[in-house]
Amino acid sequence: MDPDFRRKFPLLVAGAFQEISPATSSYNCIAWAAGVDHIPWWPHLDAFWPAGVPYEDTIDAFLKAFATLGYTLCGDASLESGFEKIALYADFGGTPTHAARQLPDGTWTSKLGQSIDITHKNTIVLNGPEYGAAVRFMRRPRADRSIITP
Amino acid sequence: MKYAVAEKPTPLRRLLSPESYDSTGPDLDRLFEKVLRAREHYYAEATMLRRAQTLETVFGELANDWIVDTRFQSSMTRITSHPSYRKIISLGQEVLPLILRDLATSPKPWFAALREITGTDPVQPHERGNVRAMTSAWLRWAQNNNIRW
Repeated sequence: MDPDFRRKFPLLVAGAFQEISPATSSYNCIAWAAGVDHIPWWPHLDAFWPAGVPYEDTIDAFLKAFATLGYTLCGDASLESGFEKIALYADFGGTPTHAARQLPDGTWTSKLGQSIDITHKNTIVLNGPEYGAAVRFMRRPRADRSIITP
Repeated sequence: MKYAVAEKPTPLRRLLSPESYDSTGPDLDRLFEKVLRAREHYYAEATMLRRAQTLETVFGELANDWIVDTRFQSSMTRITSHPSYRKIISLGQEVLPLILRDLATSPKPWFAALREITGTDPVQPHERGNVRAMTSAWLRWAQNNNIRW
């Protein structure tokens, strides 16, 4: 683990995460949390953004983007039977930075920007200078969904 | 105690001052000669090569800085407003082959920079967001416009 990684993710120590796929800029964390692995999601000309959702870097717009997939706000990151969850991270100015998706066993998966995909044991381990903190949680009934491919 | 300082014209002021030259005399010829020599040197092959190498080095350093700083970021807004990314855009048309070479080697979010530098956007609406399709559209555009990378 390089010093830059340790500085940006001080809580993501060895054992708290596992790399699951190599770095790529074909998609990003928001797409990965949405179950998409072929196109980045962001309110930006060079990315996909769901139709009808405000085209702005705000928590409200990102919650609305996930709402288009059937997610509704919930209280926390705990594992709830029959539901899958996403966590939305924002910096201390309230600008969205990252999203993670809960796996059936209660662990989480994240795409770290243009870098690797990882699984991590909870949402807290990604808190820090790079992503700020998980500020909102959403859930939807869990279905047997696989990753959407083109 | 106060000292009177004689005002001494700077070299630049002397060069620009019309009084420094006799518009019909040998001074003006010498000035033209100097300008021609400077121009020849500027366009000399070795100088051009050195400029290209310097540009490549500067681009490499800025690009590396940008990649390292934004590799864990998903925010396209942050990625494309990073100071090193903005500096690369400010290098202008000369940096296009270097961006295209990097894009062809390993796709990165260079699209905003390409749009700003060229003032065009060859990406079709149905390709938008698809990194591979956007990369192909830009490389095709470069080929059609005789830009080598």
